[in-house]
Amino acid sequence: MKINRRDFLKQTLLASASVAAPNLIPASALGRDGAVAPSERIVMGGIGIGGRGGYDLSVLLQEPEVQFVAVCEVKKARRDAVKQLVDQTYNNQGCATFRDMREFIAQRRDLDAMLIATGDRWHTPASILAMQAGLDVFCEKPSAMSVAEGQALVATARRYGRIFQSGIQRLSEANFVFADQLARTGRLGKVHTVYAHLLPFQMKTDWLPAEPEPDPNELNWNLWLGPAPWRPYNRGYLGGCGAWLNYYDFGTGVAGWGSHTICQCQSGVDALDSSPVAYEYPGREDFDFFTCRFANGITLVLNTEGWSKPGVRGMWHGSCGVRYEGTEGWVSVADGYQRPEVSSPALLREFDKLVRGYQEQSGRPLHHIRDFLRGVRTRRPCVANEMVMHRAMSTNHVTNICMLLKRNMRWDPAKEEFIGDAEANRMRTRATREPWHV
Amino acid sequence: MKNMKWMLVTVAAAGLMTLPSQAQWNIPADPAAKKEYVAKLLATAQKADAPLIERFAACRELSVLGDKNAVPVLAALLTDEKMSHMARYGLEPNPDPSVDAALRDALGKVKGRLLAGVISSIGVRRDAKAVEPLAKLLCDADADVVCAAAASLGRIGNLAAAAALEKALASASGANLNVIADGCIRAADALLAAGKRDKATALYDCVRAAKAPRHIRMAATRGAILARGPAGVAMLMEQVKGDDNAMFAVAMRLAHEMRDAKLTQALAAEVGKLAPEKQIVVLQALGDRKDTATVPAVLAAAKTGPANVRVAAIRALPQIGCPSCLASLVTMASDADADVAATAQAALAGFPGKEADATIANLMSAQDAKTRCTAIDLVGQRRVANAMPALLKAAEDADKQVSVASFKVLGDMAGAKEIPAMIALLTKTQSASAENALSAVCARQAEPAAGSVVIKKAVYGALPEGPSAEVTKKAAELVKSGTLSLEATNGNFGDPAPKKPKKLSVDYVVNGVAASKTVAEGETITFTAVTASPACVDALCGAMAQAPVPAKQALLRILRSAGGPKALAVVRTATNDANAEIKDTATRVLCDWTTAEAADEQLALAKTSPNKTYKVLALRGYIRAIGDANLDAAKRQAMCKEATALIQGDAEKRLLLSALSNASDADSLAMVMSHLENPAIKDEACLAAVSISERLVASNPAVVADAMRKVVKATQNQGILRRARKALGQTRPKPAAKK
Repeated sequence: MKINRRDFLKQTLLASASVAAPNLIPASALGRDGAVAPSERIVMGGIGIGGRGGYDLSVLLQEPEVQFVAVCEVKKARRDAVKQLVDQTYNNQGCATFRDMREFIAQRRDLDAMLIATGDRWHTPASILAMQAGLDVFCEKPSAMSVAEGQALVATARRYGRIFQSGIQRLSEANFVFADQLARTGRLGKVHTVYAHLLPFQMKTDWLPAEPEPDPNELNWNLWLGPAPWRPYNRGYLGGCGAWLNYYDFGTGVAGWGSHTICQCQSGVDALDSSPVAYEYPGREDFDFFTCRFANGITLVLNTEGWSKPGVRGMWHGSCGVRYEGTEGWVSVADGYQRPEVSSPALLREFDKLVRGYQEQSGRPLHHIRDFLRGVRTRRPCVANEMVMHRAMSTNHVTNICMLLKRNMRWDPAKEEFIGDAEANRMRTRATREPWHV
Repeated sequence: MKNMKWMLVTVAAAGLMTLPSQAQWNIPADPAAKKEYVAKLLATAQKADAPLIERFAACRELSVLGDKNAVPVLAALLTDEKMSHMARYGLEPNPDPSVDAALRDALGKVKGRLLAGVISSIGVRRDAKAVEPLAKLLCDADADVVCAAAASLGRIGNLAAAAALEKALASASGANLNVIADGCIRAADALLAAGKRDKATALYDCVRAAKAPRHIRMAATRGAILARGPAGVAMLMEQVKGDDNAMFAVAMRLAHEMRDAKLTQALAAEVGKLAPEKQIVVLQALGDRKDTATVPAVLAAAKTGPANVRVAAIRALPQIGCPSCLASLVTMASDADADVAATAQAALAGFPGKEADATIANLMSAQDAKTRCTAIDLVGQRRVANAMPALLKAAEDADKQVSVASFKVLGDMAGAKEIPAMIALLTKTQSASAENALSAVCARQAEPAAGSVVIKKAVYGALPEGPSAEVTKKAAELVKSGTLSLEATNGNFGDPAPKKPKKLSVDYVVNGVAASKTVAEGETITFTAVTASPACVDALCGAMAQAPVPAKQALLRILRSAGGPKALAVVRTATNDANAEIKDTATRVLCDWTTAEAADEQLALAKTSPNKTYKVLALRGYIRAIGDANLDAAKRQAMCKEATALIQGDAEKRLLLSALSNASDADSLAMVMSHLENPAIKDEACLAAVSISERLVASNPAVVADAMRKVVKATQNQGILRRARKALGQTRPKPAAKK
C-alpha cells in the first residue's frame, strides 16, 4: 500500500517548509499565493485543547504547512470554541468535533499528527493511542504520570517509529539555548551547581465535596477522569491546570514547572539521557533548596523561591528560571528576559555566535513546533523527543517520591530503579483505571 | 464506567461533604508501628461501610506497603465494581508471588471492563503462567478484553505468548486485527530484548505479511530490520531504494537510531543515486550521523544538482564538522544561487572548530572584494579574536565596503589593545565608520563587570553618628553573586538602627579606580559607568593634539562615550578652542554629556547661552543627567527644581519623567505624581511613578500605596495597571503565618 494524499515523499520536499528553513521549499510545493498546497499539508487533530493547548493551536494555525481538521474534547464548551477558532481561521466549517478520543482516532484516518494538551493524567494514554494508530504526536508536558508510563511511551514511540515532541519549548528558545551552550562549551569553567525554578510541592489526596455530575454531553466526567482513580465530580477540578494540578491522582507534583526547568538543567550539563543519582530530602514540607546530585558530582538545586524582590536580588525575575554556576562564571535566565543575565558582559557578547553555532551544528530551528513539523516530514527525532521527556520526567518523579516518602533516595538511571528502597521502587508505577492501559 | 450516580449516592451518604484533607504517606519508621499501620490500612480497605475516599487511600498506600497479607484482602475486592481498580492499584506493584495467582483467579470471576483491568495488571506483572487463560480471551466478544489480552500477552512476551498471538493473528479481522498485531509486535520486542533474535524476526515478518494496516506493517518492518542485526542494514537499504514511501519513512526513522557504521557507508554510497526528494531526507540523516567518512558523498551533493538538495547537503556539513569541507563551503558561499550561497555562509558562521576560524580569517586577504566582505562578516559572527590584525589591515582596504565592514566588526569585537591602532585609523581615514567603531570600543571599556568591582568597605546604619554596622562582607557577597547595584535596605543588610533613617556608605574600586558613595535607605548604589578606562581616555586625549580638525571633532565625541573626569576636562578645554568648529563640537558634546559631572555647565548654558540651539541641547542634557544612577537624592531634587523652572514644552517634561523613573526616593515620586493631571504626558508620569514605586515600596509603603491608588485611577494602560496593582499589593501587610 502506498501513501497517496499524504504522500511522504511529497512532504519531504517540504522538509523544512517553514520559515525557519525556507531552503527546502521547492517551487512546485507552493501555490500561487505562497501557501502550501492543501494536499501537501500536515493534517492534524487535537485532543484536550484548553489554555496551554489553545496557545499551541494558535501557533499551529499560523503554520502554512499545517491543516488542523478536528478536535476531541470532553467539555462541549471547549469543543465548540476550538471549532469556532479553527473554522474562522480557515474560513470554512471543516473542523470536526469528537468527545471520545477512541472514536476520534478510529474515524479520522486522514490524520498525520496529533496535538495532545489534556491534563497530565491523559498525556501518556492519549499519546500511546495516537501513536498506535500511526500518528506523530506533539504532547504537552508533564508527559507521564509515572516512571512506568514514561517507559511505555518511549517503547511505543520506538515500536511504531513515530515522532514525539514534548512541549518543553524552552529547549528551542534562544535565551535558554545560549545558557546551555555557555555551560556545555566550558565558558563557565567547570559547572558545579545548576538551579531549577519550581512551583511549591503539593500532591494532595483529598476529594472536593461531591456535586451532581453534569450532562455527559456538556462534560463527560468519566472520560475527564480517564485512567485516574474515580472520585466524585466537583467543578473545582476543572478550572485549568491550577485546579487539578496539585492532586496526586491528576498531577505530577514538582513536574508542573520541573518538566521544563529540570529538563533545561539536564540539557545544560549534557545529561538529557540521564538523571541525578542522589536526592536529599530537605526535612520539611516547603521543599525549597531540594538538592540532588548527578553521578559526575554536579549539584542540581530545586527552588520554589529565588524571585527577585524589593531589596533582595534573586536568582531570576521571571517564571521557569534556571541558573548555571561554574568555576569561572554563571548565567541565569527565565521567561521574559530580553537577554540572559551573566557574570561578565563578555559572555553575552558571544550570544549570537553560540546560538548560531547551536543551530548550524544541531540542524534545529529555534521554534519548537517547527522542530516537530520538520521531524514529521523527515523522521528525525525532535529536540524534546520521547527519551528526553522520559529522563526529565524521571528526575521529577524521583523527586516527588523522595518528598512523599520523606527520605533520601539513590537512583540508578541505567536500571531506572531506586537503590536499596523497595517501597520507593513500588511507586514507579500507578495502575490505570480500566479499561485504559498503556 | 456507564453510570457512577450510584457511587455518588454512596459517597455522599458516607459524609463526603465534611471529609478532611487526607494525609498520606505518613509511614512510621519503627517496624512494629509500621506493621500496625499496615494492619489499619487493610482493615480500612475491606471495611464496606467506610467512606470510599478512605478505602481508596488505604489501597494507594498498600501499593507501597502491602505484603503477602494484603493480597487476599485486596484480591477479594477485585470483583467489587467500586473497588476493583483501587484493589489492582494496591496489588500491581506488590512483589509477592501470590498476587499473580490472585489475579489469575480473578480472570474467571469478572467480566467486561473489570476483566480488562485484571488482564492489564497481569500484563504489567508479566505473569508467564497466565498465557493460557489470556490466549483464550483473544476470542472474547468484548473488544476491551481482547485489546487488554493482546497487550498483556505482548508484554509477557515469552515463546508461548508469541505463539498464541501469532495463531490469533491468522484469523483476526477488523479492530481485533490491529490490537492482536500490536500484541505480536510487543511480544517480538520482548523476544528480541531476551536475545531470541530468530524467533523475534519470524514474528515481525509474520505481522509484515498480515493484512494489517500500513502503520502496523511499518512497525513490524522496523522491528524486522532491528532484529536482523548487521543483516538488517541491507533490509533497511532495500526500503531506502524501494518505491514504497511508507517504508522509506521507516528506514529514515531508523537511520537516526541505528549507529552501525555499515549503515552510514551504505547511505553515503546510495544518496547520489536517489530521487532528489529522498536525497534531502538522507542527507539530513547523514548530517546527524556525524561520520566524516560521508563527507565526499555529502560534498558531491552540495556542489551540483537541484538547489534544494544542495542546500540540504550544505546544512549537513557543519553537523558533521569535518574541516576538509571548509574550502568547498568557502567557494559555495559566493555561489550564483542565492539560497545556496546564504546557506553556505550560515554553515561557515556556525561551523565548529578553530580550523574554521583560521580558514575564514585567511579569506580576508582574498582578491575578490565581495569575498573579503563576506569573510569579515563571518569573522564577526564567529568572533575570531586572533583576526584583529587582519581586521585593522582591512579597515584601510581600498574598497570602501570592505573598510566599512571591517570597522563594523572592530566596533563589535576590539578591546583596549586595539584602541591606539583604531585612533590612528580614525586620524588617517577621518571616516564615520572609524569614529563609530572607536566610540563603541571606548564605551565598552567603561562597562564594569561583576568581577571588576571590589568592595573595600561598606557601612549601613544611622550614619554618620547613629548606630551602624559594617556590612562589607555582605556587600561583597552580593557583588560576587553578580549584582552591579546595591539597594540600601534592611532586607539586604539587617537593621542596625531600628526606627531610624539609615544610609549605606560604600568604598569600592571599579576597573581599578577607587570611588565612594553614600545613599539613603531605599536608594541604590549602581556601579555602572562610574568611571572610564584610564588607558582608553589617555589614548584619546593624547591623540587630540596632533589630530586634524575633523579627527579632533570625532575624538571629542568619542570622549563622551568613554566618559570620566579626565575626558570631561579635555572637552571643557576644547569649548574655548580657537577653532570655531572644534569649539562648537566641544560645546555640543558638553551639552550631551551623559552623567551629572557636567550638570553645572549644562545648566549654565541652558540659562545663559546666547545660542538657542545650545540652550535646548543643554537643557535636554541636564534633564537626562538627572537619571544618572550615581546621583544622590538631594542633588537629584535640586536638579529637578532647576530643570522644572526652565522646561517649557511637553517633550522636555517627558525627558524629565524618563530621567526620574530611575530614582527610588519619595521626593522624586512626588515630583512625578505632579504630572498625573497633564493628559499629554499622563501615561509617562504613571510609568515613572510605577518604576520608582517598585524600588521604594519596601522602605516606604505608605507613600507608594497612595501613589499607586492614584495611578490605578489615572491610567488605562494594562501593563502599567498590572505593575501598579502589584506594587499596591506589596504595600499591604502580610497575614501572620499559621502555626
